[in-house]
Amino acid sequence: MSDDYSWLDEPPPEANQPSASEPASQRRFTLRMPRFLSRLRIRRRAPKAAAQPSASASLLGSQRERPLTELDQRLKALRERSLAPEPRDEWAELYDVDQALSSPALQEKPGGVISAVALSQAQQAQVDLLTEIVGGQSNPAQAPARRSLASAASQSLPSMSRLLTVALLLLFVALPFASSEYATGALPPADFADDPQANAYFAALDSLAPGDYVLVAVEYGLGAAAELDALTDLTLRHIFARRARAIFATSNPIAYLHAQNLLENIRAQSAQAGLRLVNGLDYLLLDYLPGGALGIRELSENFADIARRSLRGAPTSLPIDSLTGLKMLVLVADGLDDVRNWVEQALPEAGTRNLYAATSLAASPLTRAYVEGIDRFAGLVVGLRAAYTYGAMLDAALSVDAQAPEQIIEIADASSSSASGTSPLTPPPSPSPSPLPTDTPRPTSTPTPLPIDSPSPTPTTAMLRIVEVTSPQSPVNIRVGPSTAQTVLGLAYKGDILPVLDASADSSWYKVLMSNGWEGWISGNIVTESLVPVPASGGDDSASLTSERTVLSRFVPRRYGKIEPRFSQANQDPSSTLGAIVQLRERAEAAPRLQALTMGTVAAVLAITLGNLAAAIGALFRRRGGRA
Amino acid sequence: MKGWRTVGASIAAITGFLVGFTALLSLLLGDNPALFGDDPQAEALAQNLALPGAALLRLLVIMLALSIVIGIANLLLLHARRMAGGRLMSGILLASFAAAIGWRILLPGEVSLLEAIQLPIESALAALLCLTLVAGGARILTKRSDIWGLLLVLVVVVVLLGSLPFPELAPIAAFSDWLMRIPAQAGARAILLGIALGSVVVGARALLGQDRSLRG
Repeated sequence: MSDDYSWLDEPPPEANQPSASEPASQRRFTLRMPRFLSRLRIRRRAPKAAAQPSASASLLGSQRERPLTELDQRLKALRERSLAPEPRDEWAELYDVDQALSSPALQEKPGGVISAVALSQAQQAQVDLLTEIVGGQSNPAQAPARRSLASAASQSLPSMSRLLTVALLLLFVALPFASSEYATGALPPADFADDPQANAYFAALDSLAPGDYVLVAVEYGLGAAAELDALTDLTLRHIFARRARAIFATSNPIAYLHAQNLLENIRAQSAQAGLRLVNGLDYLLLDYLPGGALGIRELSENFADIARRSLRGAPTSLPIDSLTGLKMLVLVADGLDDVRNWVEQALPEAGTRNLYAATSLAASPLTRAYVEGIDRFAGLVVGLRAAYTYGAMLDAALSVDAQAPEQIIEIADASSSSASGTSPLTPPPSPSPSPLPTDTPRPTSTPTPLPIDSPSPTPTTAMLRIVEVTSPQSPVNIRVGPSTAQTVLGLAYKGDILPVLDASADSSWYKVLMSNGWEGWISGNIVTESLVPVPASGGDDSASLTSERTVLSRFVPRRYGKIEPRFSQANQDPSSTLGAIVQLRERAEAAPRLQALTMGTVAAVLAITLGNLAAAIGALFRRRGGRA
Repeated sequence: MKGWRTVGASIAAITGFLVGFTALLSLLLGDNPALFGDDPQAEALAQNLALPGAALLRLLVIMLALSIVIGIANLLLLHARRMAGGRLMSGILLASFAAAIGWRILLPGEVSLLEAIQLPIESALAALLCLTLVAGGARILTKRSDIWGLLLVLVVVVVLLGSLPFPELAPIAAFSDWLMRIPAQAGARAILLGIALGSVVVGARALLGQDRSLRG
């Protein structure tokens, strides 16, 4: 027999036969091959085979623990101590404190120290009931004897009722994707008129001003991606469309990777419309926060330290040193614990800043309890239907903005406007028709017009010399001096745009201004140089580009105009307005997905109602038969 | 031998007691000058009091991060041993781990591994959970045909019906909304209260050395 146990591996042949001579305490845990593979064959149903245990349940039920003899001395001592009679109670003088502070008595059970920390009888009964309902094996003692590989492979398929339920669900969910004729139910409303908390969420994001910092905490796993991706995507596009800056933080590494992918998608789509989103300027990925609640607490109390470097280790030089410097906090979460952690650990340290949350339907009851009890937890949107409404409101808000072109087109590309024969302040064409419902009424909330950064929108022909990182081997190094022998100062990524301060004689090296305000040298072989027009607001441009604040205030806002000559054609494209960042999102399947959700719910209601009705009738007949 | 063990356990308990109370006092009193009245040094005192708690908290986060690394190393060693013993699945796990790490290092901008494998698998598992729950919901009364089972079925059906976007079901939707806002929120608040009280009790047990993790 092997020395240790395994979950999914095939055991040695002798392990398949139960050993009668082996004491129970010394039996070792081995498992069979994955049951889902062995279930590929159908066999005749065994007589009186009541509820076949599910693979996972019988997997758990058949596992055995290591013998006590394998425990080390420390664990043995702990076990002996826990089994020993309780010492004299030293807390008897304090009423009930002894009961509140004493550890529960461990129970002696065969199987070792792990099973000694067992559920109470009432808890075990609940677990047994739940296990039985979902088709598992309730009592490990009644688990079938370990079967050989051949007998495991000949296990029967799940019961017919379960197959019918699954088939019904799959059919109903698939129908709306097959044809619109099977769509049923109304689509969600076009505004949050009946949901003040959701309305507050939208209004808060819509009131963001250029340059505001928003902490976006993405805390959902990939299992909830189908429900929350849409809300995350819309939230980010809304932030970027308002020219605010998103600072990402999370205690979930998988969620972080997924958020980066969403961000890359938005960035790529925006680039197609001539809208540049630059890492470190428009958004920033903070380092992963280990330890769940403790990591969030650390971020709250030591924001300046954590925000000093990005996820990739590059210095950030954020001009804010605490959560109070943010405009707001936005949390996207699918779990109760994540909501609780951010509310309890981050919100108290955020001064007067508000928290807004987008959650799954499962997390909404607990989240609403917080929202209604805490003033600064000010808004909540829930699930896929809210995403649909949010998208409709965002479209409406940005179409209003599109009618105020002088607030959208902040600078003019003199060359392109003269080439196209249009004035820089010419209103752009109306955005392309939205595929959202045509009977969409105007949202009740009043969209906030985009603030104007500069009081003087007069275009000039001042040019800024920039380089764009084009190397496919991203990231690339920025060094202290113009040589590969020099120390690496920071990193730049493909697509990053850096203002040029100086260059070597042969332009093989460029001295650039990094996003954190530092100056460094980057090789000319991995960048493409170009000139972009920027309006002069007084003073000498090149001389004033010496600090990060200067870059942010003078360079970044103009990226949303047409600063790059190769995007000058985009001026004639209606999608190149600020609204493009929202209009470009993929919405084609929003309606079928929602209708599939509706149909799936109908199928679930049918299955649960009919299944239980049949069960109740069956029970009634059995009782009558028993009386007779 | 037993004496040394007692000494070690005592040192651990005393260390835990001191560290815990230092952090607790620091978090309670730090950064709160109002607690010290009109003393001109109050602000500096409050800031100094906050330092130990912050330092311990940061130390804990570092230790947690380190524990993740140790956990990963332990997992890799365990499966390496199993793979050496001929366990196929452990070999696949190690190969997947190496592939994921290598993929990220060699192709930092390439995200298809996560989006094309991990995301569909987790989504499929979530969908399977949905199917299992519905199948289980259809069998509740076969296993528990009493008033509580019936009540559970009724609530499930009402809430599901209330979530449907059919105008004809508006009364049911209103009742479902009431269920979610009043009883469900009451339960949620009870859970929050329970968590808070449980945290206090567990924290007090740990600080007073009653928790077995300190004595063990």
